[in-house]
Amino acid sequence: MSVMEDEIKQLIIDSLALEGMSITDINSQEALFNSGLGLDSIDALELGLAIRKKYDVRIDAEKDNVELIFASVANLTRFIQDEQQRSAQ
Amino acid sequence: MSFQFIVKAWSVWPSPSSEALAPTLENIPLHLKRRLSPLASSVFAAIAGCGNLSQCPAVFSSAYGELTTSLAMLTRLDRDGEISPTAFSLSVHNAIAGLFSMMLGNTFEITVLSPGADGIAPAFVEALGLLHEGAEEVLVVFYDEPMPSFYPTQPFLMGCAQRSAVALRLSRSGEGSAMCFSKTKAASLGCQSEQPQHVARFVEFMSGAESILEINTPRQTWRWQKL
Repeated sequence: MSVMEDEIKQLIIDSLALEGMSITDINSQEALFNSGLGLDSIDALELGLAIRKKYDVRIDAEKDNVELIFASVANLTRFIQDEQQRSAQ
Repeated sequence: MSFQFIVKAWSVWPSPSSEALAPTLENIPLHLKRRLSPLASSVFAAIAGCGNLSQCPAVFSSAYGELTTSLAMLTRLDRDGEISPTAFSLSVHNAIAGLFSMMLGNTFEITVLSPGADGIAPAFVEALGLLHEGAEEVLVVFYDEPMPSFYPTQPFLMGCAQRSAVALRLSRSGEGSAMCFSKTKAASLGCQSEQPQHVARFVEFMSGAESILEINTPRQTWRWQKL
């Protein structure tokens, strides 16, 4: 359980208006879309925008494996950390 | 020409007898409920008030739709240079109808109108057309909310005092209140009013003892008669 994972869970709750949910309701390994949290394609766009604003990390639907990145909070966190490290180099 | 139909049920939100400030919408799943604007919530409350809805075609009619959402979005675009994809998807004129279709898994045809000076009449024309094509039942929904003050409304009679929605379930036969709908050429120049003003008169007509409602528009007179 990392600090950044919790931060991303809160970002998901806030940007997608998941009222009544808290970060303890989201499992880092659980699927975000379809099953699991049950998010849809509009949520993916909204979340992509929120991530770009907060972390200055852009998810490119042409280049990146979007399905894998958005599979879980753990995957999303790893992707953002990797991107941040890459741009810091 | 005149057309007969049955009003199987109808409902208005907020209802004059109810003191509730916001619709409760118990049956709507959370992941869809978070997408509902105040206007959409009113629409679903009015539909819920019509009783158990079978899967049927629907006609949605609104003079201004989600204009408040659109303006908020344009304001944000001007300020931040980007807009929320969710807000964009919910700002279009058929957004509420889309949510309705998703919520009930209703795959029948849905028409969304923005009727201008003819107000509530085009939705009846559309619904009666669907009934005559063979639909057992058609859901008709009228909804509007006050226009943001950003938009000039004078000298036209536009806008409305409060957010409201009216839902009707129409059929060709069966139990309910029988009615007749017709139009004639306007005898005199009709009033330049829009749907919100017509809806208020229609609700009064449905709740009251009057047997005829006539609405004069610039081109014609629309007539509803209780049979």
